[in-house]
Amino acid sequence: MITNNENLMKTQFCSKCLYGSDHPLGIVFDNNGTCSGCLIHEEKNNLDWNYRWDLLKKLTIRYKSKRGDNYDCLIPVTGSQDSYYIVHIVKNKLGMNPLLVNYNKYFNTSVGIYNLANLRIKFNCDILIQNVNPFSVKKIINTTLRKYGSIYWPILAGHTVFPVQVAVKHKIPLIIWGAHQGLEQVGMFSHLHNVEMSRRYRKDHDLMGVEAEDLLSNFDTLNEGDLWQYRYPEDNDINSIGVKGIYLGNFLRWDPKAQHEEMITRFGYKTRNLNRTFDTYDYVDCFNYMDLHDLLKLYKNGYSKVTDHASREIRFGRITRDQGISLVKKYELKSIKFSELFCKWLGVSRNSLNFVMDQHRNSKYWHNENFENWVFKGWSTFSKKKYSKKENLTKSFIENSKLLKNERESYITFGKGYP
Amino acid sequence: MITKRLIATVIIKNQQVVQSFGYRKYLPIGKPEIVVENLDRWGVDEIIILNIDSSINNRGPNYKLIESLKKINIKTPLIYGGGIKSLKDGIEIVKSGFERIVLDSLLHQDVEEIEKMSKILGQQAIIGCLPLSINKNKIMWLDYKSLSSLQVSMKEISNKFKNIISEFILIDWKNEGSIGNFDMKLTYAFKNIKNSQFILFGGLNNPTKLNKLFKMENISAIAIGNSLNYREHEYQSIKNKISFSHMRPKYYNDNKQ
Repeated sequence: MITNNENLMKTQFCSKCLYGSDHPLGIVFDNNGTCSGCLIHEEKNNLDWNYRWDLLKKLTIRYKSKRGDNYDCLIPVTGSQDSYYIVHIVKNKLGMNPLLVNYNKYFNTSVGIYNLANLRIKFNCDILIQNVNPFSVKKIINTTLRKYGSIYWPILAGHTVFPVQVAVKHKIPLIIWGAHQGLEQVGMFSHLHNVEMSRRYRKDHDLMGVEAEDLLSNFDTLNEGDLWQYRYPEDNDINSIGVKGIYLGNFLRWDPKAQHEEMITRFGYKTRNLNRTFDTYDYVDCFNYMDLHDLLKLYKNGYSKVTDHASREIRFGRITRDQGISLVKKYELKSIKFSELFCKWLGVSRNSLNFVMDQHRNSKYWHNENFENWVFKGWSTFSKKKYSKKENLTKSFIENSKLLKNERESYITFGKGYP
Repeated sequence: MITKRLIATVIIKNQQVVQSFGYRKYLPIGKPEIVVENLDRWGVDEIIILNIDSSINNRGPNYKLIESLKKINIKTPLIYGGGIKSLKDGIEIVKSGFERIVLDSLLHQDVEEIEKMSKILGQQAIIGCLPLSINKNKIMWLDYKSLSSLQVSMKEISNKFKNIISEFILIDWKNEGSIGNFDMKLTYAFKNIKNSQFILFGGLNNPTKLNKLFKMENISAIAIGNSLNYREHEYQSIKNKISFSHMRPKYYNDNKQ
């Protein structure tokens, strides 16, 4: 068991990865100080993945449209994350006919627009895109930023509810996701539990305990017209269609780095360098996820996405724990690059934004020494190890979007994509 | 008339809901308020909340948890267990909105205090918790604080607490958290006991076993834990496979109606 003897007195850290007991998803430790995430990760090396692949085939074959007049399943996609791999498995390996569904996040980069267009073209899939009006989205973000320190609530809500709404409306019961975040990060479930999508998990862990109806208040400007698109379908409707959301990560040995590299080679997935992490594959489609949103995560939780990436790489044995700490220290306090773009879009000043963001700095991890001078006392400070330039670990991730180096720095709501 | 219940169990450790496996291993689930709210929306018959790190750390009931649950508007009857040491604890918990309480370590320590609780709160409000296992055909009762097991006779326990406790929750603690591995041999311990009612818990989500157990006259309820977190509407799905007719029917919320 490793503990920090200063501000993090009560925080227990995993003896293997970099996660602490304050993890917002919840985490538990065994008697050896190993976290539940690392323990469940070991299953990836021990399970019979051939057997589990057969389970997946048996499960999905029941959903194939017998008359060929409807889609076999839905796949929620974006211009990044694991979308390419999921579509490849479903279409090319399982032989299913999916309908892709995408919630348009507004903060799209040109790489993201390219990847999404390329995805539907290369895999020859139909796609349904939802674009909630920008007036409502901005109103929601104003509220969620102020109340919860989140600019991403409508994106998380939309991405997780739009597929379920489409499933009910179009009577396509099966939704196929990639990896279960709770399982992959903190070992919330064993792979053997075959955990499925649930409204409870969405509310608790995707939406910080806040569903659309919880945002309605007499003391706010949001109304039903702004929020109805984010409401979860009723239990009765979900049951009548038999909607079911499964995770490929329960049936395939899930390794995002290896999968992305296969998709780069085979299908032309584009990547980009991100300022606040060494991983060039994840979240390349968004100006704000690895920027402003990531900084807010650091403010509230004392760690940021680079810790998630480093912990993942430690568990796969590609870097050591010390190397992980070194990478975290290199990236987590880097400044953000696109806040002006966000302020212009939302219609707020930089000072206003900073003021609101500062309200959400967790005093456990941030000390205000004098006006505007904040000292970080987050998770990474438990280790005295400094970043070492000698350990150039970041070269193992590919960056291949030189084609788009001249992109304008502005959000693309809709893009043509590339032929 | 409703004679049997299917109860949802929520295990709390370090202020979070966890999955529990054999009283030794745990995996995180999430916030108690959201888990309980979800079960309420599913229309479960009752919810038992077991705070498992109270007694073992010599703490009283988890009042922080109890206060947080008071704030959510739910209709499902709630039952609380964990750290209850005195009549005063029992009264506070019932005043907070819980209908019944579960006692475990107090059964080993202080029967007189349980008698007081039964007198003031009513026998119906008291449930006794018995983690059991079988060792060489003997029934063993686990004291989870000392982690030692004592051979017992269910008939003696039933007689001892006859007018004090309304139901016993028998936990197959070794198979707790497993999928469908409840040890049916445990039923021999109580099948001939007519003056007590039993709730069973521990590795019980196999419909065949559930249907068999519900036929036993002195089984009033079965409790399900971990597996309710694995799929949407898992509770309703389990109820769907139970052929016993004297239960509340499964329910799917529809605010449009």
